[in-house]
Amino acid sequence: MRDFILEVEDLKKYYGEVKAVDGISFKVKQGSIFTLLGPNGAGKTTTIEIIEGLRIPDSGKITFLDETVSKIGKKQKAYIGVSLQETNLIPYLTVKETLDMFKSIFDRSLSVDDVLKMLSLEDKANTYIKNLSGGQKQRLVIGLAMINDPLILFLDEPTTGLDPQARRNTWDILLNLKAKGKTIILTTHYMEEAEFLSDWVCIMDQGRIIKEGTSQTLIRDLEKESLIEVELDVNSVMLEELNSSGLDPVYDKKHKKLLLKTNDILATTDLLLRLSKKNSLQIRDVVIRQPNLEDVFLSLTGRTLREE
Amino acid sequence: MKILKLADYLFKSLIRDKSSFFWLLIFPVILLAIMMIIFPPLYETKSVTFDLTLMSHKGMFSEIIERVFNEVSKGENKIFQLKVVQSSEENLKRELENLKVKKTNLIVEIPESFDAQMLNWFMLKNMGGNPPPPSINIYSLRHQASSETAYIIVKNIFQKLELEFIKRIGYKIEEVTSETEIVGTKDTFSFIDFIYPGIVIFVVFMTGLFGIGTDMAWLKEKGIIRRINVTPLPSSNFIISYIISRIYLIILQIILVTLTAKLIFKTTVNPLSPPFIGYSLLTIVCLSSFGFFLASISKTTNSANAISQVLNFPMQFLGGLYFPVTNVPWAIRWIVLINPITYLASGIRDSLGILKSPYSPIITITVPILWTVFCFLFTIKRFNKEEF
Repeated sequence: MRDFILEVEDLKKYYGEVKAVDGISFKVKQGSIFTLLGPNGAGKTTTIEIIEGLRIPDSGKITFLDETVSKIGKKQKAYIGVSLQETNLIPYLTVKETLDMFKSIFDRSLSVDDVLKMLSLEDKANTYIKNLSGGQKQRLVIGLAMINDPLILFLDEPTTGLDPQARRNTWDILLNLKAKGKTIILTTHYMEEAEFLSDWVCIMDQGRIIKEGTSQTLIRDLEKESLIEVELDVNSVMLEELNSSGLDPVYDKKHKKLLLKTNDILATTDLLLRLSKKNSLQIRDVVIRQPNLEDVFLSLTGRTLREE
Repeated sequence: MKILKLADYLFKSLIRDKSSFFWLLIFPVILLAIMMIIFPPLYETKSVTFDLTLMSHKGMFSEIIERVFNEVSKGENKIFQLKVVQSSEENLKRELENLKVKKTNLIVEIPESFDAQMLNWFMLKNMGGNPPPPSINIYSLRHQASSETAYIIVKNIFQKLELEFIKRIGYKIEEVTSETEIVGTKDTFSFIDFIYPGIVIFVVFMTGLFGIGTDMAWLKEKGIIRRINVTPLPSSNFIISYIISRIYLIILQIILVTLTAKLIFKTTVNPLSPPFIGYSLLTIVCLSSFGFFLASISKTTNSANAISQVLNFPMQFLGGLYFPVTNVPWAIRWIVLINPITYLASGIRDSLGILKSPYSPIITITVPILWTVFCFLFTIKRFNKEEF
């Protein structure tokens, strides 16, 4: 078994002045879940669509299954499975017919019944696509990506718009696929999804990879054990005092939330209470939690993942 | 096999949609039926009979005239409902009253002196004179259509009679010709034969606009073509499958319309005749390419729909599908002249001998071919440029 199934080197795609993908490089281990994490417009979809063969890069190299190419062609497409960001299916075909239609495109494929079983969609086999729920449709989309028994699956925001239960079901399917040895490349702007599923995370912003590693190492690199989120109307005096205490506060004016990173929860909360009393500020809510990938992104860019 | 299987599914998905099923398969049949209810009375000629009173008397020439009128008043296609009465003042008075109350359309009175006048005319003519012609009295109602029409017919009959008399007595006469306008080569004009090829073109046009144009724009907008593009199937194969699926639809549409036209409305057009098949194929190629052109210029389903709606009626009604459009005002004639449907409809009807085309066969074939080439080249260029 090869170490890396996919290697991308100095990939670029510009649209006039806009640098959608600006010289990114990464390697994907076979049998792993690799995640491109970033806000909308970070370049995740453009990157993944280049590797799917939908877009032609301006420059860069892609090495897929030990073969280096400038763009993905028919030969490589036989080994990949794709779930696009927005996949609509033909409404007046049944689930079974849709799978069979896509199966007929490939030379090698799984049986339709096996895929239905894998997705727990057997009872919906003869249901028209238009009558499926969002979660069922998403499962089918993943099924279509699996129908050719691919070595690598590209899933572009596979859980966007799904309810928590449907999202959880999709995660289970992806973990099962990983257990079967499939490599999965995932894009998402949900940090909990990236954290839960990924073996390797690339954080993207403005067309570039700004940091990569496992979720644990990325979080550990923040060098803070805990975060304190405080809801209050902070003033400049208090911010100055927090700064001078070495706490490096981040204040989100829109949501009126103050974020403090600390390795000493007791001392920090004590200081916070004293300063709020001194400045006559009322604390409405306090949350003490462990840092996550959202905090990593925030510390790297000063913005949250969900900001427009 | 891959292409055919994909075509099967694309066809299935289209006809399962109730709206597509109705508009693309059922509506053309309904339209044909509606057309057959509304238009035939305007197109088909009915035999008209006029009430004619002939006032005659005994005499050689009078009897010849009476025999002629008797001949044209016999059989299924008779022109006159003839009533012969003795020429007299009293009878004339009574018949004139009948004419006024429209119990008769025309009175032809052969005067008692008519035979003597005729003999006199022949004699003087033989002697090289220029005698005044013998006269017959005709009574009609002014501004009454049937009476005036009957008068024109009777006058025409007398002119013919006059020539016949002259010919029989040895006068050399020149050939008489009249200008005629050929409006068809069939003995009788049949509206179903006229409309049936029009409806065939209509169904292909509908498939082009909505079954291809709008539908393809939907597949593009919803990312289904993008989804196909991430598989090893070349885009060209998908397009071929798509075209095959629409050919299935068009065949089904033509079969339904043909069965209706043949079994219910008794068209005499043979759908298996080479001209019909040839022009139908040209129609399919031309109007399908038009659908792809429409899809290529539309970014969304809504824009494709809007363009289709704008093009639909002018192209249909100014393409001569339902009535001839050769004499429309110049302000809209340009639409007729640039419209490929004009040439397809004219060409198919002319080739079947239903209605003579104002355009030569070369024009009726060349214009749709030029449209096809333009649409396909434009579509290929646009589709190649786009990253789906």
